[in-house]
Amino acid sequence: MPSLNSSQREALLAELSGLKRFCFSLTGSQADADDLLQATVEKVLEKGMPEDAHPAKWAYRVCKNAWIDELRSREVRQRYPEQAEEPESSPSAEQVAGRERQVSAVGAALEQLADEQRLALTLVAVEGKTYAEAAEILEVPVGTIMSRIARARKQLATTISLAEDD
Amino acid sequence: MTTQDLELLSQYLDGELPAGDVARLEQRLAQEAPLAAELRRLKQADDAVRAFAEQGAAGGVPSHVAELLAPVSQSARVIPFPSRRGRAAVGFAIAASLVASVGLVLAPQWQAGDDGPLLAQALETTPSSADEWLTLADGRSLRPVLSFAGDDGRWCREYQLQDGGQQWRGVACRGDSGWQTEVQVGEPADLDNSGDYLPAGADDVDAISDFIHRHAAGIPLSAAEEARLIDQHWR
Repeated sequence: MPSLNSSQREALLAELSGLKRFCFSLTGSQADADDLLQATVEKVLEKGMPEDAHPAKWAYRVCKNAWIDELRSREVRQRYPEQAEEPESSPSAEQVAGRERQVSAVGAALEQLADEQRLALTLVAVEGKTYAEAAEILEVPVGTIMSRIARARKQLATTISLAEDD
Repeated sequence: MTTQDLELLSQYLDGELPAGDVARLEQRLAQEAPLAAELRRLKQADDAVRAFAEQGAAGGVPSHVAELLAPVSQSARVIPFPSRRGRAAVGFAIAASLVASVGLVLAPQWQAGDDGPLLAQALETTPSSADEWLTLADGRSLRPVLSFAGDDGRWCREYQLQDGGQQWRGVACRGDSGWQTEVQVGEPADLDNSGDYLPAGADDVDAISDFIHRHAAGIPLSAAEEARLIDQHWR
């Protein structure tokens, strides 16, 4: 069975937190994100990775494909993603309520974005990837990444502003 | 706000603007209040998305996932942890790869047009569904599974087709002459509904998965996006 060498394993291990956030941006729920992360790691271990591949970029691409498999296997596109789960500790009722409102608004705003915009924005604005790295992961030209992110930001800013005004 | 200015601000936030453009933009930001206000608004959106992502990752990386990447001497003893929902993302892929591995029909160039005007017509108008089957006029049953943009600009759809005791899974793409099947694999009619997690060898190939991974330009369409395309005749 193909496997990873030590340096590939270490590189992937160091990328797991970022991959988890990427999974969350794809799935919209922590439980689904954990399952997708597991499926991604299992798939990378099962299929192996070329020696000259960049482990992180390779893993993000495998993750995207694993999510496509998941969409094919159960019609998750038909359902509205769960909201983020509550943290276990809650400092005060008012703070929790405020945070819940904000999380709910941001989650809803993200859900309204086209998938390709959400993925590009997550890779760059959250994970700190360059446009060139995001383009490689999502297999599109750099110019496409730039325009997707700009459109995503504009729509998000508008949706969040409207939600705050309500 | 012009599209050009929006892209300038966005690149500025991402540190992707060339140095010369940065100086010019910062000069404008000092002089144009609406532009500066828009930058603040976009920055706030970024902050909100980062906070949301952090909350999503709050549970951290599950230890059983991290353990999968432990050094080989340790990971050889690690038993993969089952998915909470019992059907991991790879479940279908593995089950489908088993189908391919048991030597059922694989017809990469099967033409929908050869015997499939009904199939092509149904693919044009039938939404994807998790469990609804459409009975075609010739008695076969069809279930579109999902739709996606192909990397060559065509729209493509994965589907399942049943005829008596036989069942196939395929992908058709819409060209100038309508829907044409690009790949099709036979599968047992009851396998897909079993929900069982079936083991498969590492060398098994899921022709449908591979085709979609190679040719999908992005994540498959949402139900709403697909409905819009059906209404607009996939244009």
